[in-house]
Amino acid sequence: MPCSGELNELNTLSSDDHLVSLNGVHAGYDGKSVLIDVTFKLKSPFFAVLMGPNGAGKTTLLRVIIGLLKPLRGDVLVYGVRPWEKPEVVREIIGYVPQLLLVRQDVPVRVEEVVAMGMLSRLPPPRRLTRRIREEVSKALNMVGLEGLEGRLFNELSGGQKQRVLIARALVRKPKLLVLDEPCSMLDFKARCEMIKLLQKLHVERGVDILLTAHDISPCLILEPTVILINRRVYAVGKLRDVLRPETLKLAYPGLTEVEGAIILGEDHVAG
Amino acid sequence: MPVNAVLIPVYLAAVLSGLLAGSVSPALAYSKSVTFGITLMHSVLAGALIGVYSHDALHLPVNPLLTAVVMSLTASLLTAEAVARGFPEDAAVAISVSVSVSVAVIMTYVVALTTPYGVSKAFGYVFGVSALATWHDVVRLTAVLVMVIPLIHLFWCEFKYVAFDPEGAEAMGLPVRAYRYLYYFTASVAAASLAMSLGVLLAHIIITVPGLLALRAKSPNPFKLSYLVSVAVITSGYALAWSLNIPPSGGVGVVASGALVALLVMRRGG
Repeated sequence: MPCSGELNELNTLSSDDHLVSLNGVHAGYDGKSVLIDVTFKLKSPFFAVLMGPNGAGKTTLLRVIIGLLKPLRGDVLVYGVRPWEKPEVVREIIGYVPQLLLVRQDVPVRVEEVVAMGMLSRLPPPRRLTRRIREEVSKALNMVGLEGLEGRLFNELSGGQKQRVLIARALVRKPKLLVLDEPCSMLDFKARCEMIKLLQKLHVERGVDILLTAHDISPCLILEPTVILINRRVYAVGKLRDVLRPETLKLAYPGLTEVEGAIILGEDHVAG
Repeated sequence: MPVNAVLIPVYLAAVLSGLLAGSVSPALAYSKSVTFGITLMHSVLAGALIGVYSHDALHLPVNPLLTAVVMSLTASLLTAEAVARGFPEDAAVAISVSVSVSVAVIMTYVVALTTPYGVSKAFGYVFGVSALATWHDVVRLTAVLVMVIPLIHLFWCEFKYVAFDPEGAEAMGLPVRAYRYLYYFTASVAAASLAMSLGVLLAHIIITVPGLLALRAKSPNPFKLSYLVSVAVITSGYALAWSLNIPPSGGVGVVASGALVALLVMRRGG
């Protein structure tokens, strides 16, 4: 069973510049660790899924990687850069897509403004939409299949379209790595599959590394992603077929129930 | 309304108050901080009471407007800090309001004990002195406008982003905390000045209504509507007060209430 950082192909890398690596990371809030001794490496190009039950620390781990949370212990390198030491460098490398749930839906913001935020945040005030920024925004919207929606209000779009707008906002910065927190939440199965297809297209055609969190990875199955199984600590890192085994899943999902020919994951069981 | 030289500063103060309220109101509504107006107004009252006590009882050269602004800023910073430390915005507002109200109640008692007219003087801030506005008030409001309006417009894009998606904004490198502080600072300065003119009660309404209407209208650029509504509410309120022979604050209150009812009807219709 492949456990944290044990994948041979990942451990034999020579340069940190192509790696997202975490080594013995403890991280949390108010001095209390949510993540315990998290260690793994991902070699670019990668399409990786962080999988685990509710409260497993998936979002916390993403916050550590993008530099919004400094680890209590351990080391993090994103393509050779420590996120909390050089946040301005990491921001140029990573495009972050937060959970749709955390975005205020009642604020009347046009799609164009949301996507432009990705570029404008690099500039000093006053931040105004220029023709060049508008062109970049249109290109980013084209990439996610939302061409022509620049003038629409964000809160009038469907869940899938909103998620694509947030991805376009990350893409407009031309990131090397896209970090997505639950991009498939609040979407039906068809929309989830379309979302994963879009991410795959960005990964294959544009060479963007992908790291996303997900409860349900079934739409990703055809992609054979690298799966990081986490419940406060990392229980397995590897290809889908190696990680998605009952004996491995049982470690991260204490509520797992085996029935004939299938397993039921207990989402709310957090490891102690 | 009659036009004579004495009333010119009154009308001017009304229009300037409308512009000031119209500038801060959208950000309050968009950041779901309408209840933050309550913090501002209670803290302005508490600060005014401290100022009156310092001036009338302790005979210190203190202007109640200054203490009102300082107290309002303190409450704003307390709110911003509580939000930055993870409190939900409504809980942070509740903390600031409870502190401000406690200070106001204690200071009302102290002022009543130590000065003959202090409480009535301080409560002038509750009801406002807009009917007695002088050129001094016009200059004060203009000075505050010159500071607040450019700041709000310069950073409106950022204020909106922070309201829309604070985590995303932070991840992209926007100094979310600094923008929150900046916004609370400008709002508190505007609120203190408005409270001096319109009174604490009315100022709360007038910084709430235009932004809520703009939000309801789903306008990505809400300032036109906000300025229009706030100036219209105040000036038509003055006209109503004049024709009904009631205090100007009362007239503005009636018109603002009408606008709020219209907002509720719009909500129901929407």
